[in-house]
Amino acid sequence: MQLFKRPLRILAVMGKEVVEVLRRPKALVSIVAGPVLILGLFGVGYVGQPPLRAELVVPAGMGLPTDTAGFAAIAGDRISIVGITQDPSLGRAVLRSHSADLLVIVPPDAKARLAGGEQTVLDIEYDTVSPYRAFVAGAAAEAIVAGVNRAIIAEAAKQAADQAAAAGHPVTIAPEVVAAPTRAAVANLAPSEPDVVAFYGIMVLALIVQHAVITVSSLSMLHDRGRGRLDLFRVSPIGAGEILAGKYAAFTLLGTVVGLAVLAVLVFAFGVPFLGGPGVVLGCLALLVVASVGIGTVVALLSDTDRQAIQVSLLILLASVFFSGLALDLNQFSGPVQAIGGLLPVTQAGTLLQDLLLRGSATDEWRMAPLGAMAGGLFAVGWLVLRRQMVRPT
Amino acid sequence: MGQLRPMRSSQPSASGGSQDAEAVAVLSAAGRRFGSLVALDDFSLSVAPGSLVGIIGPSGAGKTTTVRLLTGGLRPTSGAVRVLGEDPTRLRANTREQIGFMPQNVSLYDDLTVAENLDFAGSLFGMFLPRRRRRIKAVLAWLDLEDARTRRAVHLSGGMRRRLQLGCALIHDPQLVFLDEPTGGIDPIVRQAIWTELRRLRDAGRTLIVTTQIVTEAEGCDTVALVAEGRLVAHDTPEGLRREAFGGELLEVETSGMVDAERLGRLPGIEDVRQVTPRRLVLVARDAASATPAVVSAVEMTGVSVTSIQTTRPSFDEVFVRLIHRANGTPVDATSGEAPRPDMREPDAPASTPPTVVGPGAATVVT
Repeated sequence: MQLFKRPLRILAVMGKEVVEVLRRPKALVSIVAGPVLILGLFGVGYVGQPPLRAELVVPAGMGLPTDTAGFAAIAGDRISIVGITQDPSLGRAVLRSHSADLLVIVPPDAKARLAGGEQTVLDIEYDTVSPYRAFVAGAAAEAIVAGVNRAIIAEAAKQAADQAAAAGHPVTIAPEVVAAPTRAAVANLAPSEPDVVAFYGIMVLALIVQHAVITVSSLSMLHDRGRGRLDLFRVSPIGAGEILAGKYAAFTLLGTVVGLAVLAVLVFAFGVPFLGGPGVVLGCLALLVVASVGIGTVVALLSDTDRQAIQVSLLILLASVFFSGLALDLNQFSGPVQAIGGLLPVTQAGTLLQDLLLRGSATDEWRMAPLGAMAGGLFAVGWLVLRRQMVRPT
Repeated sequence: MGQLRPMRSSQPSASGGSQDAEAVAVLSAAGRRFGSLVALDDFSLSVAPGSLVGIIGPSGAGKTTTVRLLTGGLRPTSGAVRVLGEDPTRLRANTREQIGFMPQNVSLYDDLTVAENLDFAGSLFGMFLPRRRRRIKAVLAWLDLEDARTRRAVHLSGGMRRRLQLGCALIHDPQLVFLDEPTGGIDPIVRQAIWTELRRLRDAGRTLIVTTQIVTEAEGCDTVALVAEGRLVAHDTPEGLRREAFGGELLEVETSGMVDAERLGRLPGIEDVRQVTPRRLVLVARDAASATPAVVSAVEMTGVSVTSIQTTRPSFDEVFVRLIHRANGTPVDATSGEAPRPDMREPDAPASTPPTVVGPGAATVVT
C-alpha cells in the first residue's frame, strides 16, 4: 500500500507548491511578466555601439578633404566626423568639452615627410576612463589611420601618375588600387546572423530562468524549514526524497513554463530564429530548470535565514552575469575562472540554447553532460542534506 | 463546534503485559541537553493507550522538549524514548500514519485555503481522495470552519488558524496524538469545545498527549504530568495532584467565636490547621467527609458553634503553584499553596484568603 501512497505524497507536495506560487499574483508577475518586460526593454532599448565622434585637425595643402562630408568616406561607418580644423588647440578644446570622442591630428609636414620617404605619425587623442570606450577608440583610431593612409597614398599615386603621364609614360594602375590593392569580401557561414538582441537575449532568457527558479525554490524550502513544517514532515510518513521530488516536479513545471513564455516573446516579438528541434530545446531548458531548482534547494538547506539565502542567490546572479559569457566572452577569462563559470547552469544552458536556436544544432554537445551532472548531483546533495535534517534530529 | 466521529473504533487493550509494555508512549529516564543547558532531566513517563495526558508547566519548563522527544524531533542525550513500540526517530511509515502532531508554531500554508490545508495534511498521511473528502467535511464541521473552507489560511483569525492546525493534526484520525499547546490564543468557548472533543476522542480509544500553559485545562485530563525546570515534578490524576499538593482535602470552618486551632489540629485525620481569621479556619483532612463530625464536635465542645463547614476544592492554579514551589524547595503555606509572605505569619491577619473555588462535589454543612 505504501507503494501507492508515495506518488500520492509527491503529488500533494507538487500541487501545494504550484498552488502557492499561483496564489501570489505579485510573485507571479515578477516571475513571468518581470523577465519578459526586462527582455522587452533590452530589445527595444539596445541600439548598439553608436559611431565615435571624431574631430580632425588637417593642415591646409595636404590634399585631404577639408569638409566633413568628404572625410566621411575616408573614416568609414564607425566614425562620425563632427568637425575639421587646422588648429590643434581648437581640436583639443572640442575633445575636452566632450563634443567629440576622438581627436585626429594630421601633422603639417605629413606630405613632405611622405615625399621624403619617411613615415608620418598621426596623433590620436581621446578622453575616457572607460576601458571599453578606450578599446573602441583604439580600434576606431586604427580604422581612421588606415583611411587617411589610403587617401594620402591615393593622392601621391595620382600625382606620380600625372607626372609619369606628362613624361610620356602613362600609368595604367588606378591610384585607388595603389592605395588599397586588396579589400575583404566577408561572408558568415552560420545558418543565421542574429543581431545583438537575438544573440544576448537567449543568454538573458537562461539567466532569468535560473534566477527565478533559484529564488522560488530556495524560499519554498526555507519556509518549510523555518515555520516548523519539517517537524510536521518528520512525524508524517513522507520522506526527504518524496518532498524533494514534489518540489522538483512543481518548480520544473513552473520554470519551464516561464522559460517557454520568455522564449516565445524572443521568437515572436524580437524575431529570434528558432532553428533547432523543439524537443532538444525543451530538454535543454528543462535541464537548466532542474539544475537551478537544485541550487535553490541546496542554498536553502544550508542557509539559516531567508536573508542569507537571498544574498547567496544574488551572489549567484552576479557570478552568472560576469562568468557565464553574458557580459564578457568566456575566452577573455583565465582557465580557472572559466571553470568556475562552467559550474553555473546558465553558462552551459545559455551557450547550448544559443547554438540550438541560432544554428539548429549544438556545437558543444558535451555541455549537456555537465548540465545533467549538475541537475542530478544537486538533487543528490539536496536529498542527503534534507534527509540528514529530517532523520537525524538535532 | 460539532462532533468529530473517529473513523475506526479501537479501544485500548487492557490485557497482558506490564504497564510499559502496554504504553503507547514511554520516556525512560530521558534527558536532553543543549550544550551545558539541561532542558530535560531524568524524565520518566508512561502513557497508557486511550488516555488523555496533560503535560503542564511554566514557559521553558521542558514541555515542548518532551513532545519533540516523543515525536522524533529530538534524540535524548540520556535514557530512552519509545512511541508505539518504536524509536520515534526511526518510525516506520505505517506507524507514522497512526500519529498526529500539532506543533506549537503555526505551520499552515498561508496561501492555501482551509480545505486545501486539510487536504494536503491528509495526503501526507497517505489518505486517498474519497477518504480525504469525507474526512475534510467532518473535520470542517467539527472545527466550525465550514463557512471558511475556501478562505486562505492567511486571512483567518488566530483562533481559526489554531483550530485549522488542530484539524490538520487529526485529519487522518490518528491513534496517538501529540498536541503542543493546542488552545493557545483560542477564546474560552472554543477552547472548552476543543477539550470536550479531545475527551470524546479519548473515549473513542485515541491516546492524546497535550501540553498546555493554561493550568485549569489540566482538570480535563486523565492524568497530568507537571513539569518544571526540565524535571517531572508530579504525574497523577488531577485529584491525586490536589491531594499531593495539600496533603489531603481542605475543610473550611466558620465559627461563632474564637476557636483554638491547635486543639483542632490534634484531632485524628487532621493533618494541618490554619487560622485565617479569628472565626475562620482551614483544615487539611485526610478524608474531609469522615473528619467533619469530629471537627464540629470539637468546636462545639469549646462552647462555640459552627456556622458553616464545607470542603473546598482548591483551583488547579493553586495546586500547580504549590507543587512547583515545593519542587523548587520554596516553603509554602500549608493550606493556601502560596509561598509565605511576611504578613501571613501573623495568625490573625486577614491578608490571605483560603481557596474559594468550590467544586461540584463539595459538601456543605450549615449549622
